[in-house]
Amino acid sequence: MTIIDTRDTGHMSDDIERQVVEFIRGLNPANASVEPSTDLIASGLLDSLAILEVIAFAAQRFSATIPARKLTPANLRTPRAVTALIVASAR
Amino acid sequence: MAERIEYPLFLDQCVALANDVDADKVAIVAADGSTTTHRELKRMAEVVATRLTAAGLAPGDRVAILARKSAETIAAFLGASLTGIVFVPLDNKAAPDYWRAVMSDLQVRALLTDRAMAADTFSPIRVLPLVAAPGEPVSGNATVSMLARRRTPHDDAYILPTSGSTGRPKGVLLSHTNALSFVDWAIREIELQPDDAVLGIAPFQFDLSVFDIYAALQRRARLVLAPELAATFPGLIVEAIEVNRVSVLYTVPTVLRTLLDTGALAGDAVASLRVIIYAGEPFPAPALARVMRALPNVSFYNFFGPTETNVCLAHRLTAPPADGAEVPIGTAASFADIRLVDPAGAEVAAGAIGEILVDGPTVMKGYITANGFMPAPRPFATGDFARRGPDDALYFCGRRDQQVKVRGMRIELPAVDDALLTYPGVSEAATFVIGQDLVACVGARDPIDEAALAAHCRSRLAPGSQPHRFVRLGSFPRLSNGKVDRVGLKAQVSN
Repeated sequence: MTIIDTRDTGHMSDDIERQVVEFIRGLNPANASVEPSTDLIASGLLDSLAILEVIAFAAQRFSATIPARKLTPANLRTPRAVTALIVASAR
Repeated sequence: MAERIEYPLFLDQCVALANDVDADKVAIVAADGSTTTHRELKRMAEVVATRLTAAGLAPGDRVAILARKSAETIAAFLGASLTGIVFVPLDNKAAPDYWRAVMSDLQVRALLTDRAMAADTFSPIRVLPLVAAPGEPVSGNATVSMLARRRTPHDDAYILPTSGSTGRPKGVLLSHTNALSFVDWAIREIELQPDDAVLGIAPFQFDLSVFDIYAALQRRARLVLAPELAATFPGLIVEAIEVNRVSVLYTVPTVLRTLLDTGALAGDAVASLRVIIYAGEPFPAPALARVMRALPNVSFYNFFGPTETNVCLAHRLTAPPADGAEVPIGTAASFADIRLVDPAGAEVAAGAIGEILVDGPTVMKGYITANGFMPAPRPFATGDFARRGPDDALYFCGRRDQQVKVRGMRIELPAVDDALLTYPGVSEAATFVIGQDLVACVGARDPIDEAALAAHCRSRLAPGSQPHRFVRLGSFPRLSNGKVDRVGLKAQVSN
């Protein structure tokens, strides 16, 4: 799956967000109540291994290669931010 | 020309004096990019010294420090040190009850913090601001130097609370000499230069930071403080390296593996790296080899030693280890007297496994617990086992608690871990004895064929060392210092 242009693909972005939330919930039983705006860092749900899983998920599901320098707290703080990162990285 | 002090006797003497040619050189670059020169740092330390003295603290008293990593925090260490006050860095991410317990057990008198909190939050421990108020006085150098004149390098300098993965934390009490004899050796070992930039990733309660802070200051290299979350987020480390042209990195294997696995070691952003030192836990050879191949121009070192002795063994890698090769933990540092002994305390025969005993100037003064001071036995028995190879280097054979007997067979758990790590897809391994079973935990992103993994173990391990059960986890729990939380992991798989 390739994301071509996110400006007029709001629905697609919503769909990716749903998949990201579902994926993060599945990482760990403690993540079951994660919502798109949950702060994953404050709640301690995101560790370095979870970040590796996010990278693999982005690559496998969306052919998105996330550059290492983009792996910052700001870009990974919420599932919504993760979605934006994946969309930007798939372009 | 001012004479350079060759070997500082006290932590605070690592900072350049006002008449030193390097006084206006940048000492610290904070995570937000702001810089502090040696001259400014020395002044900040004197302000803290005055504040502590004015609050009634005397030489030998203890002050806890709860703060983000900043130049102010380092100034607090140096200011306490100037006045002979013993500082205790607290884990910034821990809970208030933990801080209270540590401060109570270690008989701390005051707390310096950059957090907003009421003065009686930890009553009777007095809360003081870490950061100077505008125009806060320095009571001249008179008080400071008067106090300073009475001290010796063997005085208590700081206490590092142990990680506390089990039970109540103990404090490791260290002197100025304990720290600085290691620092002086380390500077020479890696040939640290004044134009180097050292990236400080380790939290200040973790002894890796002793190298970062005092080696950088003493050698007049820049200390670049990584953002608080850098150990988790590779983007923060890449940015800090690139922006500050970082050349020296001292961290745990886990951080290096995360950098490798996220692609952070590829490309020009990290081209300024010159030296990487790892410590704290074994580095599985396959992963180490991949990190080294990604950075062919970097010199790699393993530093080895518990907080109680600081680093006492070191190994410089000359090439990426071959598959299945054993990487030594090192040979004795020049200051360290290292022996391998049997349970009766006699030195073991050449090539035999023995417990590592350490003596020398870096061995701690002792532990501080709720029951008071317990002097360190000399030499210090580390609880780590090793054997000496024909190359005179020591090879790690596990912790005291990792040499076990299962169903009558003696097993070295690290050897089982090594076998598991050579199986494709396994990134981490930890083996435990649970009941009468040897349980192998593997960290792997994707499912593992258990029968194939068992066959793999049979091809590499003696019959008595075969795991009875395998548990796959997506990730291993970790302590705040980045090491695998073995106690937590064992509890998790025991259920």
